[in-house]
Amino acid sequence: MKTKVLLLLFSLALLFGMMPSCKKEADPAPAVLHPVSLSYPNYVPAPNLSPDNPLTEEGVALGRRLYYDPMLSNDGRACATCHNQLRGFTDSVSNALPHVNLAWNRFFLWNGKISGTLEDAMDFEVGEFFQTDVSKLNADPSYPALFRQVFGETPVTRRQVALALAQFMATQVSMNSRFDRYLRKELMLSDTELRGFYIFNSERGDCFHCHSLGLFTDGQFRNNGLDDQFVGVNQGRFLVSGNPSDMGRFKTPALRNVALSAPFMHDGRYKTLEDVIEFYNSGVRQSPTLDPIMTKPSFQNGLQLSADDKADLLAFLKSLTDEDFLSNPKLSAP
Amino acid sequence: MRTSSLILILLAGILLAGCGKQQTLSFADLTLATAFTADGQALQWDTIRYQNEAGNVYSVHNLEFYLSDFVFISAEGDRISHPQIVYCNARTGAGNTLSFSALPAGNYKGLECRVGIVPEWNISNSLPANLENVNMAWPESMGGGYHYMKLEGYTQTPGGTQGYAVHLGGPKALVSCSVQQPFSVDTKGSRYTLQMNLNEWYRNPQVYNFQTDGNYTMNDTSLMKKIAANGRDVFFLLP
Repeated sequence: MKTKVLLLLFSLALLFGMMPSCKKEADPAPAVLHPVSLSYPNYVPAPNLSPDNPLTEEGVALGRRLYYDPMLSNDGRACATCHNQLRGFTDSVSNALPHVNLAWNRFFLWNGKISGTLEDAMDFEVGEFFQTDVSKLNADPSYPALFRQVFGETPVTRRQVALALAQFMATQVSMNSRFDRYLRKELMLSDTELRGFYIFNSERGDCFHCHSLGLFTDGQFRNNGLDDQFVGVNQGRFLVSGNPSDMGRFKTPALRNVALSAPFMHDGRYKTLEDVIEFYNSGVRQSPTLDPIMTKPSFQNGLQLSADDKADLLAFLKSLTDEDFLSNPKLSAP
Repeated sequence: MRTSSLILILLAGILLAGCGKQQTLSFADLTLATAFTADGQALQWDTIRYQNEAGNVYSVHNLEFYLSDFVFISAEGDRISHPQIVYCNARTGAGNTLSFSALPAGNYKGLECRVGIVPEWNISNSLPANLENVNMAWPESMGGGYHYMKLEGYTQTPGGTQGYAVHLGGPKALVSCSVQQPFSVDTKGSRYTLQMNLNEWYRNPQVYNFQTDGNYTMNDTSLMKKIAANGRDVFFLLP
């Protein structure tokens, strides 16, 4: 009897002794994650980052792998299919907005259908655009461990995919063009670039009101006079808001690496930057929602830029190309 | 006994006088919430329904501005400065609640402020950049600094709808506003509405007409000066 009691006590002690080790297996210590901070010049505001998805080296690396992985879609496409680094993360065929400095955006897509942070945009891309089948990621030999490392749990969910993509895309920062280096007094622009900058940043060309220096977008929705009748996709922001005053308004695109992002405008109607400059010079159409900035008297007959002015403006726009961004190995396919 | 009573009375008197003095020096917070109307009509975005002194019928699509150089004028005539610079965006609501801490509690006979930025701060990139005011820069080629105000919308013309853009910037377009209305700041803090009457931009001392003066003010100093002068009494205080 005494022996039985002793055995029982010993068994109980053994059981309690094992419990901590069982708990350890079920809930492993969280992986050590290494924080990442974005660097940007002082003439640019702080980015619109989600506090709920802090950037880490591990999360960014996972997002980068996903960005280039056709497993995300069900038709063989990856994000990088339409967002080619050599073209400033857009392509030469579609009118896809470039993936550049999106961490500073509060609205996404041409008509601003998605608002919030990059995480919200990626929720849309993963859930609606790609309709990502996460069972493929869960069945993959390496993804589950990577997701567990970053998010502390599996199975992989669409939300986790969106968060990882958002982390990588927040690092697609382009702020080292010739023009940036000019602003930082590291180099001098050429005479033609400087004349173009004057046209851009004065009432002469009046580009600055919408393409604000620094981010080269004001993040707002504007009707820049492409059309005087609005049907289908050309209705722009109106399709989201239903507000007639939003008819024909589109998000102001950022002009960074613009020389590489042809075709231009929301429907890709202009094939070259020269076409775009000529549109502003002589092709703006009047409509009730034409942006007030573009209704000034001196705009009535177009900008009236000379051939030299147009060449200068083009030279300035080309100074917004950021070679480091285009070749940054941290942004390339892993 | 009589002497000690006298001393006690004197001490009490001194203490009471001290307390009284402390009360006049108590400080409190003042909150001003901005509101926007056109001669009593509340601002409704993008509706061509307001009429200015010149008879222009107009809408408002965008209204953003800086306020700076606040001065509160006490009933005794003391001028209490609050040098803060505030960016307000009427459409998004950014900066539309202004807070002034540690104002002496008491009665005031008015306040003054600037629509725009005082010269010592009106220098490119001198203010912290943020996503709200990223488009307020004033080009270097025009002197640099910031737009003081962007008031944009549409007006009805014989030929149809036409946009207008009242932009102010530069040293000659800084707007000195004066609100000559008594108000008080009580010891627990007070809150008022600082109401901008949009039609005041277009009258007094000079009527501004979009058709004859122009629908675009930037780069035209005489137009900006006219609007800036009209802005003196653009604000009203409401309880």
